[in-house]
Amino acid sequence: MTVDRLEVMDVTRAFGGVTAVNGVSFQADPGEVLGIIGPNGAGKTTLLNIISGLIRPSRGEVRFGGTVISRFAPHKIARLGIARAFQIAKPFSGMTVRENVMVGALYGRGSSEKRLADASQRASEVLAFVGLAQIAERRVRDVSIGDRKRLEFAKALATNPKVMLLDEVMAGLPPAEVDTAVALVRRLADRGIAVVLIEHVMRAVMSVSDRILVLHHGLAIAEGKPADVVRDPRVIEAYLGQRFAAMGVRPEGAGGA
Amino acid sequence: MRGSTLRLAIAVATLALFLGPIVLDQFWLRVFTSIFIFAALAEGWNIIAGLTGYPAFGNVVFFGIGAYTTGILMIKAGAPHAAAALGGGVVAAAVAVVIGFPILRLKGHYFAIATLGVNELIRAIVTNWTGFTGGGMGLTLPIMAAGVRGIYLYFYYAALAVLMASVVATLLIVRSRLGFGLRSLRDDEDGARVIGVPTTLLKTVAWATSAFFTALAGGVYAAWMTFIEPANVFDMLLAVKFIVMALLGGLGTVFGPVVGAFVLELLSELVWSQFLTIHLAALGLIIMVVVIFIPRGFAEFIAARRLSLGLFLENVRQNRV
Repeated sequence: MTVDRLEVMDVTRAFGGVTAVNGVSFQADPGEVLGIIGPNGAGKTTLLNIISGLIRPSRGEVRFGGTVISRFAPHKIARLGIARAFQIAKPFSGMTVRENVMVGALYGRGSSEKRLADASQRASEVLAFVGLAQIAERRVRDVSIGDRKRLEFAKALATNPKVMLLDEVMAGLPPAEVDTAVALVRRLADRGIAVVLIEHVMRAVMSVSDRILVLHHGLAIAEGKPADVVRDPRVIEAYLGQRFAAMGVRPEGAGGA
Repeated sequence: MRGSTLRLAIAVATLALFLGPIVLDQFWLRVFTSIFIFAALAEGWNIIAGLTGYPAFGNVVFFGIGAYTTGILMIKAGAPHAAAALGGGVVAAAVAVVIGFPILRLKGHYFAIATLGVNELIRAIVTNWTGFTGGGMGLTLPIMAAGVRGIYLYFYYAALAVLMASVVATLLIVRSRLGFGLRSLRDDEDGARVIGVPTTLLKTVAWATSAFFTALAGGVYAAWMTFIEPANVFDMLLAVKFIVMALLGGLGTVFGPVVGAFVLELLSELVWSQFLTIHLAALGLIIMVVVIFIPRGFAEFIAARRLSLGLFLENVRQNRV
């Protein structure tokens, strides 16, 4: 077994009568980009919440490097090297961009940067990497939505992670910035980070992912290489379904889901 | 006011407070002792409410615990005042850790209300445990054998020491890894957790620190007054006062709560104490004005570098429901 493999094993989570995630299993290895796609309400964010420890699975377990982590507190999971970027950016609004990133450096994997000066240095590197260096000293409340998304990404990266869980970090970005984000994700994978990416921007997720997992009503309905997954009849049905078919929507519409 | 100017102002103010007793008569020594105690309470509250974002309205419980522990240690164990007050600080911090574990999981209003409950609970215990605490009859502490002027000076410097310690602690926290962790969880707790901030631990440390200084202030107060009873050391009105001071000066800043305490207490002593009946009304009015016009306190003027009607109106617009 690979040392830093992330393994999700038969994970189920029910909220009342709704089974948000139903017996999902997958793995992500270092240097690999795993894209997770699926219609709204498919259970993608719930799955990431389970991995990052914010909610506990009703059944099944999550392992990282062979250790069962699904009962660990979120901060402990982060310190093992699993960092998270939220769909709706959660910046620390009373702090500057640099200070936000410093928190990740101060408390991240191994908590290696205990001194503020070291954390600030690390923040500079990360901000340069994601292209936010020129607004490092700005207060977050004065920063644009696009830059907040990048900041969300930078905070996670500053923890020096082995796995990054990215929840729709590209949604709402203009096309040029999507290309930049795709390149960033690729560079993370080239550094040996396992990236688990939830994304609705099909062009991005298809081009950057090594493998794709498709969720629908909490079930994993397909998994494989991007080119194979889009031809899978179950996937086409999940995305287009009978409702769309009845409305006369043509298959090209899938890209915009 | 930034960097060197601020540092100079603080150095001058500190020196003035240390040398003050040379020129101050007993009336003013008493006024300043009271200001120092309130400033330490406001600063202590700032650590949990301002830096951490947990409005512990019931923080006055630690004032009471500090006062009673100090009294009991002095009377029953014959401990010197300083040791007894430190003991009070330790007991209060321990209580904060124990009750923090369940109630620091609550957020916002729920947490604030739970802390009020804690205050009432501890007050009830102290009131009814007559054999140990004197109950409703109160507790009389030994009077120091140091002469009148000596006693005034002792409590002036004791209160000043507690205040200085609370300010230095806040300064150290803000400039440390702990401070970054606290500010991050104040702004977004989940956002902090998923990048490795152990929020429960940090909140507990912050509340214990807050409790420690609040209790030290209570320990100084108890020996200074030489008489305490549940009704006056677990008094919510006391909490309202130090909360208003912290808000007035600027919650979450290092020096704001101290400035707020000086302003409010001096005003109160010089102006309203002349008019006993409107004293409380004036406090009420100040609360309303602060909340409506300057919710971020005096510190906002320093940050904005201006003092204008526009700033007030902006606040009114931004904060209306």
